Amino acid sequence: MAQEYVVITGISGNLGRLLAKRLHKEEHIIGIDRRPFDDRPKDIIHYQIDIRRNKADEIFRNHRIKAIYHLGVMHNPRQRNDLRYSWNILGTSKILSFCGKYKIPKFVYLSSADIYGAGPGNTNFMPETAPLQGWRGSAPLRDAVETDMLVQSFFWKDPDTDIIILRPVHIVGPHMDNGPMRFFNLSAVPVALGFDPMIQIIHENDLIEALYLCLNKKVRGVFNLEGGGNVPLSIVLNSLKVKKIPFLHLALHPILKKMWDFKLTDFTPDQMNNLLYICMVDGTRAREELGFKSKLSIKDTINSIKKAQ
Amino acid sequence: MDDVIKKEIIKLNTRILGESFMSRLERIPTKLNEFGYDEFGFKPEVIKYIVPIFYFLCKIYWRVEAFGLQNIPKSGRVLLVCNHAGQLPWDGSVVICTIFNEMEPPRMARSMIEKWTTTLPFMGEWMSLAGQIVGTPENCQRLLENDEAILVFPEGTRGINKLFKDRYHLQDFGHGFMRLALKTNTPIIPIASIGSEESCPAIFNIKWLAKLLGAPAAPITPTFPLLGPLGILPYPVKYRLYFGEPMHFTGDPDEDDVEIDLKVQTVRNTIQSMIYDGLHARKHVFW
Repeated sequence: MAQEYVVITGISGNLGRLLAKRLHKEEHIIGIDRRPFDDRPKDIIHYQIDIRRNKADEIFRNHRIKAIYHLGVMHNPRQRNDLRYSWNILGTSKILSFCGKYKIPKFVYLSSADIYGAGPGNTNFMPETAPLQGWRGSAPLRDAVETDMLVQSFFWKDPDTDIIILRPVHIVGPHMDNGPMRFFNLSAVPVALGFDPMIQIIHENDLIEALYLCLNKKVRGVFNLEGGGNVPLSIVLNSLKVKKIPFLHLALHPILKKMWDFKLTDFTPDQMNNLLYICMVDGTRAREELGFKSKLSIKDTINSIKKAQ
Repeated sequence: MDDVIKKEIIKLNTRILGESFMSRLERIPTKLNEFGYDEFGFKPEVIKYIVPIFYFLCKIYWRVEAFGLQNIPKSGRVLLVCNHAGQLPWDGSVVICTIFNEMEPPRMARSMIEKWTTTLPFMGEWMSLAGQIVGTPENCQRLLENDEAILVFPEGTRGINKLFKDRYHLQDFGHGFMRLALKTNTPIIPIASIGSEESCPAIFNIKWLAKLLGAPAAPITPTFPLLGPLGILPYPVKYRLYFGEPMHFTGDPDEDDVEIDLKVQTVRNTIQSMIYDGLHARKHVFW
């Protein structure tokens, strides 16, 4: 019986490392990432390569792969648009092609609930079938929508692989360094006067558990991942003692655009919608089919956001 | 500082309304998270501060008289269907406040609001804190499955913006509420609200101005725009609410419109006849 491996792309990232730690005692892990992973546990094989290169093909040819966790997606909005597009779309395409070529039984893609897009008139708890309005946003969000749809298209192109798309809400936790974490760790944030949308957040530990569940459960399809509940944005900001600077909502977009253009902020202007409107998901499908339920309450999740000074 | 003001307001409200009234809030059956919000953003705590305003409006300004409150089930899901009028949705708040004030045990009905209200600053936030929900089918279904009481106005903007000359003639009903009732097996309570038409009588509607402003209507009433923005405030008519007997419907929620329409017309005709009875019984508009 040949040894079976679990591939994690993007293993050197924050989530990749957490996932590797969770899995490496039970599974044989192969990590693929352009970045080094020097402090890895000894039983993890790491290939420091670009997934878009042909070298990646060898890995899949030479090892028997039981599952791929594709976390190697670029989210940084300051990254060059063409590089991010190439990395996300071409890279994901390449990995998906290996699934068919080498008959890999499982592919888990970590998408995001951001792609539904925050907007007026969103239903409060969007199911997986809700339209992806994220294409109205800036380039990074559009890339995320397109990558998600690319993976969706492989449901039909490659029916033998169990493809799972996870769409978690904002991921927070002591190891995370993403948009939401940076926002909540600012000392003062802009808010729109008269708007206080409800938000959902999920703790990194809960997310890792959801990823773990995907490995051995015989499931396929799209799953929204809710956190411990939902609260208004102001409650999160007050709990974290972040100063709120109110702006007139009509003035927000031009101000944020100028700040973005002059590199005073890393938040794209369209993310202002998250300050105005809701973008929340219904995690029933994950609860029923994947058996996933957040262990941390909303209060504990909020408390995990503040970075130790 | 904030907390001190809040405490003073609650003390004042308790003095005016009495301890037993304020305790009604505690007895509303809703599932709240550790911060005091339900999953749709309703914060019952907030009502403690605005209760006197609506109590004044219902008891003194409009002197609401409610008939047939015993028809509303004391618990469990229910769809309250009412006629819509008055340019602004005061009639919704009257129905909700009456059910809260008069029913024992108190129930908090949640109404469905238009999507574009969330684009207005403060309005969206306050509506949500007061328990009102954006009117999508998924939201309504979720609430009904949680055994909440939902207030809907199937006439929609057609009803609320109708001119005075069309008063009490029900406009076309949307079908959404019936499909949801069938899907979730929810009883429907027909409600006739008498007085909402006269609270803000629109003599004329300037359609081109409404289009220019992106508003659903630009009404001219006897006091608006004559008395400026204050002119749009509702008049102190005597409000009468008639709650009909529960109506139960069965069938396939995904039936053709034609089939659903038959059921919808039954509700519409019931409310129309309740309106006529109410108008017949009414001797004066303002008292």
